[in-house]
Amino acid sequence: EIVHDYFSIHGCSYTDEEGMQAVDGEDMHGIDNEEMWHADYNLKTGVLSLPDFGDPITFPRFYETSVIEMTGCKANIVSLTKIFNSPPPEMDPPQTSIYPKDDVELGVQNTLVCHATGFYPPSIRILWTMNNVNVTEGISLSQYRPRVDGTFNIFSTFRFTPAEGDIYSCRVIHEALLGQPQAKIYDVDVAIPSVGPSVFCGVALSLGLLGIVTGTFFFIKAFNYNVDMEVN
Amino acid sequence: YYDYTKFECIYSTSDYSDMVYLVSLSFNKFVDIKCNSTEVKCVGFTEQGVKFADNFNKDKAFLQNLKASVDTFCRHNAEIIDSAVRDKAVKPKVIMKSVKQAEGRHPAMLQCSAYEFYPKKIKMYWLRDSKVITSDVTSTMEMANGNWYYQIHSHLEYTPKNGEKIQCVVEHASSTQPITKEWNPHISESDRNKFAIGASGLVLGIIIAIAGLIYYKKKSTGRILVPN
Repeated sequence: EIVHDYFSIHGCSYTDEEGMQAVDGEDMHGIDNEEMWHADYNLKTGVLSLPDFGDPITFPRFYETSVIEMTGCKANIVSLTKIFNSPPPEMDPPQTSIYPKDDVELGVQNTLVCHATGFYPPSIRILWTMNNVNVTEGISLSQYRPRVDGTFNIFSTFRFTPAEGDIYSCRVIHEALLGQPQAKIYDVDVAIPSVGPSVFCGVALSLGLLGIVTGTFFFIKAFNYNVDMEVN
Repeated sequence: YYDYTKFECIYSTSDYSDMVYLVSLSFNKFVDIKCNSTEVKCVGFTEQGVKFADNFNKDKAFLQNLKASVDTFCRHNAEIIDSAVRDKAVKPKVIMKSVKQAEGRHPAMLQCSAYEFYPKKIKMYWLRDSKVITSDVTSTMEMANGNWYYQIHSHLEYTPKNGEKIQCVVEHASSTQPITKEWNPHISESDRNKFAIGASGLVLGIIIAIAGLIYYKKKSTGRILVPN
């Protein structure tokens, strides 16, 4: 039997560096590593992330509870920083992979998935480029999802329509990477063409062209021969 | 720094008989305290965590709530979530394609992919003439798309033989029957076009060459002058 894990995570971050007392946080509910609901403190409401194949579920009063939890978290983290004597912050760099959501067909809209995992703290930026040009449309970013080992993972997706030769990249920026963004490249190179037919086509066309040139040469030579006879 | 509390309901049985409610408190990544509804107590993992755990373990109201939450919170929510989402299944789209042609001594490679299925658990394997192949196979783990769907890929290196039957088989909860894709080594459309273009060009060249040659020969042999 498969073990299932219905989880909720309430977290907030804090920096005690001089003049950088920014605090932001996350409140998310999910099951088996998928998100069902999260609190959006900008929209001041809960946001559903249920799959379209599921039945509807409501999360009544989850956002209000989340606000209370967040207030507690912000108070606690300042105290905890003192209690723990401001230890050196734990840092784990992300591992990143990029792959399409569906089978890639030229001209058919698809989605590229950029998955960054194993990083700590949960504060990351993911940027996309197409043929080395930054893109900002068609991009979405998930909430930070907890892993068993205390690190986090996140998904960024980019809606694209594949064209032969296009090169996409997702760049991951995280403080544990020490200023070197991690980039993963996706080449649109649909179905590596088999060489045999291409070689046959090339050789056959070359021989055909040679035949055409030879035939033309003989036609011209015959014409010249005739002219020569006329002169005589 | 990052501080977070994680509440978990962990279970594997359909009647939730083994369900356990866990509360973890983590400051700066590592778990400092973990509370368990089955044992009805908290355990500290760091120096500070041990102190906190001791305090929690003295709080009878907290422990009662910890124990009760496995029913009021976990079982209640799990029942709703399981019937609404987790017991559903979405059938994978299975696609087989050639990613490398056999050339000289290098074997060919086939790729079998299953896209956009749920739940994550899936079984993918290869058959050659109805026998399972395990060597020369490379597979990915299930990869999440991040929005409830998963995908998996498997590659098979093989040397083509006449009459051989290669199949990719996928077993998933969404279907009582395994999904089977059989490799059909027919020429693909673009390859067929290449053959057609090449053959046409070659035939055209040959025809023109022969025509030119014949015409030249007729011209040259048709008029032989006899010296006066």
